[in-house]
Amino acid sequence: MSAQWKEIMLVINFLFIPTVWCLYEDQMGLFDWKQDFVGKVEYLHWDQSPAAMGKRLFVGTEKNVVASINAYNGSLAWRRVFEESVRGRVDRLLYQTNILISVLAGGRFVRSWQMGTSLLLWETSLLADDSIRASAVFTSREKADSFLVVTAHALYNIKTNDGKKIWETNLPKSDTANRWFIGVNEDDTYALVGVTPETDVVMATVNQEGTVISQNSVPAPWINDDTSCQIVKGSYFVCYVPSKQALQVLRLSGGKNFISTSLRDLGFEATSETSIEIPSTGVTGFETEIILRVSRNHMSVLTIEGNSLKIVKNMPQVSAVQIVENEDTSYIITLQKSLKEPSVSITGYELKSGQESAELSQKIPFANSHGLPLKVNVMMFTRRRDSKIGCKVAILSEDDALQVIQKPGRVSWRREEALADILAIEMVDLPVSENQAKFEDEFGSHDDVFVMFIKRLKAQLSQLQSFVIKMVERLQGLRHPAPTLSDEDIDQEEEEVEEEEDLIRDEFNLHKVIVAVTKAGKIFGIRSQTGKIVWQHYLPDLSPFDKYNRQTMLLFVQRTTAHFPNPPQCAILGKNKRTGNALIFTINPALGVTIAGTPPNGLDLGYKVVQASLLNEVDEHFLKGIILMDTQGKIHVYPESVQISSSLPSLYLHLTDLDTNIITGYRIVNTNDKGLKADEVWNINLQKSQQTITQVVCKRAIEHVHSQGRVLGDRSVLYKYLNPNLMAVVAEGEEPPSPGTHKGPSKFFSIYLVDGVTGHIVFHVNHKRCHGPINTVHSENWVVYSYFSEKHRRHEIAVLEMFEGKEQSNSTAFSSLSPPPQPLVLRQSYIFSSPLSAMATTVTEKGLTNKNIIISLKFGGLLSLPKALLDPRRPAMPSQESMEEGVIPYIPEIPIHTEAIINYNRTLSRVDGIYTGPAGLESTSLILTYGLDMFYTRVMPSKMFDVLKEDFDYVLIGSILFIMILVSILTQKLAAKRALSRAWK
Amino acid sequence: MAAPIKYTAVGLFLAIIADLSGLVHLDDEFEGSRTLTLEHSFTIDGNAIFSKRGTVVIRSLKGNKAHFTPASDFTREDINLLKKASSQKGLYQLRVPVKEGSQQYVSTFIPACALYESSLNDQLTINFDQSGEVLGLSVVTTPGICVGLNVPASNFSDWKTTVEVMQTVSGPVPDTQTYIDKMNRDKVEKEKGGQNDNRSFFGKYWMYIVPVVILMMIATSQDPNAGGGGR
Repeated sequence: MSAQWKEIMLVINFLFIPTVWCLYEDQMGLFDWKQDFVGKVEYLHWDQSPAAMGKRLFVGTEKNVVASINAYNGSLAWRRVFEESVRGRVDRLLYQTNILISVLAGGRFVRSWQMGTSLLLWETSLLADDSIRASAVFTSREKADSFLVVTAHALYNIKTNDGKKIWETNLPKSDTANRWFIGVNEDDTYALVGVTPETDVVMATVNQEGTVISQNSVPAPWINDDTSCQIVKGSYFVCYVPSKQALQVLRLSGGKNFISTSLRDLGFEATSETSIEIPSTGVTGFETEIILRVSRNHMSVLTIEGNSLKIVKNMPQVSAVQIVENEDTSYIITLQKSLKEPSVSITGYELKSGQESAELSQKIPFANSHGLPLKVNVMMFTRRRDSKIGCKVAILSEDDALQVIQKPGRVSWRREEALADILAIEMVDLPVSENQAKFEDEFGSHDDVFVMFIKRLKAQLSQLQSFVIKMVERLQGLRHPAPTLSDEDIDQEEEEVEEEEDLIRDEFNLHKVIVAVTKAGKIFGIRSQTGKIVWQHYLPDLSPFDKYNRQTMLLFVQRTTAHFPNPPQCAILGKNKRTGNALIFTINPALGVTIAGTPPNGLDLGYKVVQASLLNEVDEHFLKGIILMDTQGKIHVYPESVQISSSLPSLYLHLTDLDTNIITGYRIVNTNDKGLKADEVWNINLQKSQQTITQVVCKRAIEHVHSQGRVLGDRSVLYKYLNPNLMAVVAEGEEPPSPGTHKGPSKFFSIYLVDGVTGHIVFHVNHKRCHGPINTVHSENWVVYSYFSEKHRRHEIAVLEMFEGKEQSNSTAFSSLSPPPQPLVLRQSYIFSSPLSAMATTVTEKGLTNKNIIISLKFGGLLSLPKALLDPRRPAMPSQESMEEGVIPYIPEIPIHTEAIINYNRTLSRVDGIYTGPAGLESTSLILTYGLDMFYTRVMPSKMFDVLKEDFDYVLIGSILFIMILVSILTQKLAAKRALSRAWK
Repeated sequence: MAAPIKYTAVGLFLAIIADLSGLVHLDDEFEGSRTLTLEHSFTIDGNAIFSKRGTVVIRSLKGNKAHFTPASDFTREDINLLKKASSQKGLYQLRVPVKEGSQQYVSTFIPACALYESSLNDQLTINFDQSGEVLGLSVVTTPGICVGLNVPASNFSDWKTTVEVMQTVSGPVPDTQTYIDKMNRDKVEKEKGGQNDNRSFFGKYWMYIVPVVILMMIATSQDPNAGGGGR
């Protein structure tokens, strides 16, 4: 008996081992691509070592990454990704000739890297508090053999070659100060300034042996964590105070108080952007000048002479400045964005004389979609040939892009680092080709016969025309388009000509445009088959909604490509950086052009939005409306041409208040005098005293469910509970330690399945001694979620599946107002042996194909797991019936087959999310993971059932068919002959 | 599931007993014997005016024992209000306080016409969490769809209400024990099977070996003949 089971299980196992996902070696990269990013650059150094002078860039980024970038093509030479938490935060990246040192997590980890290979040379750990950023500086400007690190507890002097501590000193007020500045004096003493927010600054002078020579504290009630400050010449401490619109200067040796200089007195008008600029290397300590950013595009270089500020050079219209030294001459490098054309002029001035240096000045093309250049890092060198000075320039712009100029006048490469912070993503169909569109137009309309005949003729004429044009082109050979300098051309300058033509839909609708909205306020259109950027827009005012430390932006597909001749349309909803109101921006995702009537920087709606949703209602041009609720509870519809009165009053919205854990439902009604209004109709209270709502997961609107039920072994049907209004609400909390038992606090979480129309809690489940991060997938009639079990110290995945029962209450439509009886909720949980970072489920065109769960594992794999393994009906004791149905017997652990890792050896770091989209082929689902890396591929959960195999033998089938026909004709003839001869007998 | 309980003297008596027991076992929150005041409103144009409909007495959360006791008869006024709300596409809203006496409510609604056409035949569901706090309330009527029936006033004499109580259930945990048990059982069975079959090689496979041997014998005996035939 048991042997029989084994065999059956073996067979079932083989059935589910996904052989189709395995790629042949030569298929690598054929259906997928991967892009590596580093994130927004905070620290940038040119490699100045004699061996690889100017050949590499070293960067430290906001995404806790230290990397080396190849300066010739912008590829990553190496990348070190640190922990996502505060323990991986890069506080400083120090670089000098042959030394690259990173200071992480407030000084807890100080590491030295081998520059060429990223091997760890040494690591040392300092006593630190990771909530306070460490400061670090080399002890001398050149060829330093040690460097200083100041942590929350002490000042350390560390040797650069082996990481040994030379000395450490406790600093005054180190318990209250939470920011430290270090300056190196010309007499080789070190000046330290500690800032205690809203109270005072403490100054200390430390000599080379590590003893505090002098210390002093000065009250500074205006100072806080965001105040921009700098130590100048090792003897002055300068801060800009936005509330006073003034620069405050303190002499470090014996200064008793700050001397205030108003910006007005210097002749500047203060703006919200006014601050003291930190250089792109991120390391300060040796400055003799102050670079003051007056506004977005107005910079000024100041210096201090005898306690008073003096303007060295005032540069209106300049947005990025660097002071760089080459062979004892200091230069000011300025970047000025042209107002008329998409270009930036780089100008170099000698600092002392103020003379423009012709050798450094150049003009480069710079697309408007990069915003303004914000920071610049120039590597200057003197050419041996003609002893002229030259430079290589790295530019960081407002859109987080990094660009490098190797040869004057031309950008060698750029990295769009904004893509490391994608907040919203969609895949949009490409438009059909022109001829096909005409066909659609022809058959879609209901004109009279004559008009249709004319259309037919026209369509055929145009087909002939395009055929002739194609033939002529083929005869003439390839022609290059005439060069014109416009914004788009710059982006496509380097792209090959052949790629420009095929932005039309392919046969199976596999190629799409990926629309990505990033945290930096930049929107990208990416070609899905290659990962190349088709178009990009930078909106300087666009910023994410930022509530409860969660950053969100919304992207709605208002009209798909299906409604020819109306172009597809996407709307991006975010917050206006300046006003705080909602900002909406509409775009044609296929071509990347803004929709007529939308301001180029987005439309400020004039109110703050608390809830937004895409409507099903369309206007006469098939444009779906967006419904918005403002802080006053008023309802708006964008665009206003969309009439929603026909669907009223059956339109419902809900709001989740995280402060009270109350979810409130609203019904939208039309009042005749005041327009649309939201009436509160239900609310549920999820007990804020115990827990906090962390997620509300709704089903995807594009999802189709093909099968209404599951056929059981006895041929009866178990109907699914398919409530389209159902949402899964996840709330996490912590139980206080109970005094009776000696247990510490234990975390728990609950999942509520709530009907979004009536507020009916369909089901609620609680997991004790478990905690997040919880990844939730909600689709069809099931919810799959992953969590960490504190009790067993392992990751687990649970599934809830809802069934109506053996009878369906209403087979035609679902109404939340007359719901089916309480569904049967089946649930099961499994051990998952690897930590995971994101989950999603595959979507296909008609929902016919089996579902797979795509799981991104922390170790870098992307697992495609059949949903059949996460089926709560898996029986512990398989019966005849369950076998007939094909349910896999219960095994507590979910296996991670290496064949099911769809990104094979391409490790994905720090996956933020997984987007899945349908392709034109029912069998295929497109997958894009985003985060620090972007990876695109496609999966076929039920194998390729709708496509013939590549090695399909057409010849054999064709010839067999031909022979069969031949034989049937022959036999017919023979039979007729025979019948005739028989008749004669 | 409690059957619809009619408003009778017995019902009231039971309710009082339940009330008392609720007072007695106040700290026994998990069993959750308690009384909740149910308020309702016939809402037209979003103006909700709540009035007391009755009390819901929950005797046991785990046992799903609860029933509804109306505060007063469904008056002619109420019928008129319901009719009016029903004809103007109004709502019938219900709420219960989160705690008895609290000003925080959880509420729900149905179209007023649904209540009207069901002639006061409704089913309440109250959701509690594991410590016995009220999470939410919902209501359905049978039938739940409005078709535009005209219901005679005599049908509105009393509430035909059932109350259901739902408490948060514990989440599933990986069932390792059953699986291990099953493995052990399989192992034991296999061992047993192995012991049974301790016959010799020939004993087990004689049925395969004998025909092969016979065939070979035939073949070898035929060989010389065949050779002879060839000559």
